[in-house]
Amino acid sequence: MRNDTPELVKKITALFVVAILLAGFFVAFKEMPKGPSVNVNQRVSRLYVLKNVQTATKLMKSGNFFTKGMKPLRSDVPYTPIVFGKSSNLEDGAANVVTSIVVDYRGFDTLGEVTVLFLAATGVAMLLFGKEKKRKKKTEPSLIMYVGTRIAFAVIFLFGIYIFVHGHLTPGGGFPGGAVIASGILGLFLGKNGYEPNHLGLKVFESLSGMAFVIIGLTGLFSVKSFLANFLPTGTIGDLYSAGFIALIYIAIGMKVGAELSAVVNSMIVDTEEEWS
Amino acid sequence: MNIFNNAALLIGVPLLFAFSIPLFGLISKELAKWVTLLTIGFNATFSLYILLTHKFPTIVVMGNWLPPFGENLYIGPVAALLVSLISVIGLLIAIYNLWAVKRGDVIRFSILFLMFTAGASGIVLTGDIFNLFIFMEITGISSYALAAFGPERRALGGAFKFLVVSSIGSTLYLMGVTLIYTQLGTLNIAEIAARINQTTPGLLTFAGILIISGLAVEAELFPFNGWVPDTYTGAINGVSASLSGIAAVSAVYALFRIAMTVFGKSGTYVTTYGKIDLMAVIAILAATTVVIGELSALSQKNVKKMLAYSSMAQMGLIAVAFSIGSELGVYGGIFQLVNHSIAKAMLFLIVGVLVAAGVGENIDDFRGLWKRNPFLALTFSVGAFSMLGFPLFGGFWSKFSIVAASVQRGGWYDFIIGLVLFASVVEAFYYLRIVAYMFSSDVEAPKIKTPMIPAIPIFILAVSIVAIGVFPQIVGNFSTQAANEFTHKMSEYVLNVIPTIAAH
Amino acid sequence: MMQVFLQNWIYLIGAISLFGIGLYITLTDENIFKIIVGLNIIESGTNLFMIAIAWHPKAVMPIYTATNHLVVNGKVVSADPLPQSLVLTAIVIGLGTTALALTIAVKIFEKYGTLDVRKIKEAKR
Repeated sequence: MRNDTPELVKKITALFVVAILLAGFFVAFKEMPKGPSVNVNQRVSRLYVLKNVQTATKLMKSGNFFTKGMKPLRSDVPYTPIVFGKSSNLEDGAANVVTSIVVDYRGFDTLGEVTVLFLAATGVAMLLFGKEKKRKKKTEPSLIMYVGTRIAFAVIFLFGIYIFVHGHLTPGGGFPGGAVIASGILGLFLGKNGYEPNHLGLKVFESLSGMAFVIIGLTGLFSVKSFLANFLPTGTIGDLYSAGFIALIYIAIGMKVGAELSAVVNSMIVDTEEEWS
Repeated sequence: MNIFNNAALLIGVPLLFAFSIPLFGLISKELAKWVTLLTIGFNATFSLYILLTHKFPTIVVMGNWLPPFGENLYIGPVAALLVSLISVIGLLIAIYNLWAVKRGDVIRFSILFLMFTAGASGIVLTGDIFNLFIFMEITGISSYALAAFGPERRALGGAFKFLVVSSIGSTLYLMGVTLIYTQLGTLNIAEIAARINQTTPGLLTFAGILIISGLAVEAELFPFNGWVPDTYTGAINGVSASLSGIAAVSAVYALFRIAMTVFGKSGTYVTTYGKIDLMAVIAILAATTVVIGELSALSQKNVKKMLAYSSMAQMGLIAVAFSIGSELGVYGGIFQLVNHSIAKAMLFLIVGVLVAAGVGENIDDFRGLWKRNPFLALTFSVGAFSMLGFPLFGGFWSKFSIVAASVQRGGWYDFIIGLVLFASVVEAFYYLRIVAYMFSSDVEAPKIKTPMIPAIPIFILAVSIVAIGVFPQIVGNFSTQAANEFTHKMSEYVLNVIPTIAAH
Repeated sequence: MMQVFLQNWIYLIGAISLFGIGLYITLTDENIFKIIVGLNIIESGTNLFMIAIAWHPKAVMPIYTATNHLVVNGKVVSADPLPQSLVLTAIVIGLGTTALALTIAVKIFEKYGTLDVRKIKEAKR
């Protein structure tokens, strides 16, 4: 692909590949379902939602499911409308349905995602490892920059914390909240040449928040017998103290992402000299 | 449906310790390497326990929501065998790293290596298509950073090429997954496998091509394997060993899980739904990979590049074996996968010891190795003979089954097996060339002392190659059950995960 | 019905065009930073594609508030929340890849002195 072929051949091959892909996509588009057709499967087991894995296993073993003519759940159980601020003890209890999918139903994917970000930050720090070179920059930031970024940092920090604490009520959650905090710290870097964050503090914060997420998962494993199970009560929908452990996990993720992205910004801004001693 | 939720520790414990290694690293650098080693050791012990006490087939439920409404891991014979293989090879390479990785940022290297192994185990264990993408990214990101580690500057070019090609591949895979989601509404492998008949053929074929292109990048198939020579040559030897022994294994598994279980149509030979038979497409690509890999390896003078091309060609051979679609073919493929990981990892570790002792990387530098260090020469020969398929070494049984399976299939597979046999002859030539150089006695050179720590994994791998060669049942029994899982997708996979789904 | 087709199709066509443009840039440019920009455009296209699938013209947001009801008269009118959670994950993964790619680019410049991918080749054999 990236070898010594002449320029024109490379361009024509690239155009050819792109054209084939776009043609394939158009073929696929003609067959995609259109309009509000949510494809709800009708033939899957009645064990639609069972909060207790042990009950499920017991029912499985007693053979209660292999009867013919089984009706799908939707005609079994009538739908009760969910009222904001009044319905309580729901299955998941978060007002933000996207959050309940990200953290509760597909929480294992979120654990993987936090790991990906952690590994990327570790890789960046590993490749840029070395002794710091003191480089003299030509201009110092002005006084307005210095004071303004510090004042703004307080507001930005608080805003970031608000975003990830309210992840189960409003759009947002751990990842945007952490990114906002890191952008506040980027402002501190821009305000003064040679700004040094507390490296030990960032490292400890990051490790402890990551471990907190996995420990919450392991608590679920040892108490309810399923990794990353939601073992806290779900409360009334719309309250701050609702939705089980979603708020706890998003707090851990928010702090971790904030500390991590600050470390990445630090690694990239500071010049280092490689040491292979 | 058996539920064995404690197996979530196979992923949970490495994650916990990976997050805690920076804190251990504040105490000492050696402690970080030991934490990695002990955690991979825990993984290896647990997965061998699952394999040898026959605790499969079982599912692991994540988040207390039963599949398909939540995620699950599926541990069948394939997963049990491959997780044990990955964890044991990871453990042996971690022992090698205790000696080899001393300079630079050792703490972060240990974190990345631990998560690389755990990510590859995750790919093999998971039962959900999007979860497979996430674990593919975990393995990918740690391998980009690991490949760029080292004092040499040629590591960077290889790592960058690997990063770009693999990212494009992951994006193509994600697009394919999304296209299937629009028509089926689910992301669970078992449910998609059972309901694949409900999709339209055009979308199914195109999504299948996208997904297979994405996975073929990591599985080193033509034309997506341009990254292999530069990355394997530039990376340090421990990383090259793990790329070929761990990452490629999980990628080939994922490729055939999608092609044979998700898109597969059972019959005398497994083919796929859709307008084109995707198994035939993979067979053609894999055969091309074998021929190109072997011919390129012939003309190399650098041992690492030669081993890289050989690795690429062997992955093609394994893919050919799987794509035959019969039980004997899949048996041969899985057996060859196990043999190749063990042998190739050992060869790279030997090259690592030699390079550190001052022997160069060119083939000519291997002259007279038998007199300088008989242990390394002997183990290198054992590895080479296993790759060739000599009797009494592990590779013999697997290559024999592959040839037998493809002769059984007949048709145009005769042509493919002709290509493969031709490639084996070429392979024999360049491996025996090195063995002959090693045993030649016309060069006087100082003796090389074998360092103690890396000799342990090399010795264990060599012994296991000979053991598999003499007693093939060690791996053969599990491979037969694994072949059964791939060829009978409904009874062996889908109904074990969702027992009440109505079959198509 | 044509309205339903067209409104969703425009977003899908836009996302796929972004994907195509990004792929062309990545395959043909020779400056490392342009290749990384091309990767980012590919990822933006993919994320937009995934969100566009979750939408239909009468969709409301999938968040319960005092005035927002997701199920009206027994029919589900909210947008599909699952692709939105997939996109959250995919964006973060794209961020990780870009950070690592930029670091490798910085080190390539340090050691080779050039940003041209055609010039960072080692000897053939």
